[in-house]
Amino acid sequence: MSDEHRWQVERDTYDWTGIWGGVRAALSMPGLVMACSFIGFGALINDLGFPLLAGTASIPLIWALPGQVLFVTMWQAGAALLLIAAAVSLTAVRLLPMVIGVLAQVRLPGAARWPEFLLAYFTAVTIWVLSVTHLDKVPKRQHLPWLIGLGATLMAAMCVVMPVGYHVADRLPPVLAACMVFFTPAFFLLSLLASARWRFDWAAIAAGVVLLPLARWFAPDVDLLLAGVGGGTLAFVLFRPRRKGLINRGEPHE
Amino acid sequence: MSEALWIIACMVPAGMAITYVWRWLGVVAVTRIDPESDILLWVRAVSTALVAALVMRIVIAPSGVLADIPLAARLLAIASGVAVFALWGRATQAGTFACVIALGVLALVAG
Repeated sequence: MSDEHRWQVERDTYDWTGIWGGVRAALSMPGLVMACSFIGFGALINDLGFPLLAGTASIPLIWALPGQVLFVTMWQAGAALLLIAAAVSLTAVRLLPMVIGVLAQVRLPGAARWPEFLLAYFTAVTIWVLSVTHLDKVPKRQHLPWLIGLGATLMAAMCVVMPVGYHVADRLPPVLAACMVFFTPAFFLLSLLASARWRFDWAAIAAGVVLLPLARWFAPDVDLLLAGVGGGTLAFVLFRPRRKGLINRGEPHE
Repeated sequence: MSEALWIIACMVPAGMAITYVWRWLGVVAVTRIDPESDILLWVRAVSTALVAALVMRIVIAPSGVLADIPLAARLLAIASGVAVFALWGRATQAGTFACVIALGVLALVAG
């Protein structure tokens, strides 16, 4: 690659017509799966007796379903705001590597940085999955606008879909309503399994599942934090990637 | 109404700000941090375990409509979704729907 060409790439700007491709993608299959989990979230907050307006506000405010469910669940359980904030923050930590992963694929090194902060606002599990699977057919300069179009459309659509779940839940036979509520934990668990990459990921899933009943028995007020921090740390200590350990101890490879 | 507004007022610091901080750090860090550093991997483990624990909490200690379905049915439903995922080549969406359908079937059989 010539210097001249390189210079041109670095001064590049985003092609914002890419937004429309993202909008169209949001209105297809991925949007449908996401809609099912947000209908389930609507049914869940109805079930918990959480106000619909506050539940809907959580969509643009938090935009990460695990954090939203955690906030709602702990609020209804009467947890202290500081504990809620700590727990929500711990689930949101997943967004940090996720944002890095997404941006590393789509950002243009020489372009303005503000669109990256905007994309970070929309970044969540679904966007991350789609950025891995759908972007190869989109021109590079349209990548970031494409994802922003996708994220903004999904966010707006979920604000409409979630209240439907909330209202429908009351009128369904109890078993069907229970199935709708069940969509949320099912979607979470399967997303965790789908995104597991390291051995400690699997161990952390198992540890969270196994430790929660124990934590509930010993300290029902902080069961989630205890099982999450304890289980995650245990999984990491036992199944930490070997390569990193060697580097940190200053030992030679192999 | 006023209760909802109070919750939203609490949600701005305890939900929005605290969530966006991590996204913001991601943007700042993308040019300089190693996404596979030990601290980030530990953080990933904790947040994975926390979400897994949240799933378990909804499954074993639900309120409302879900509580009327026997615990065994809830646990079996989750297990069948995981089985579909494992046997069907990591089929995430099929696994999710399998959990939900299994719960409905088991509830009808048990009830």
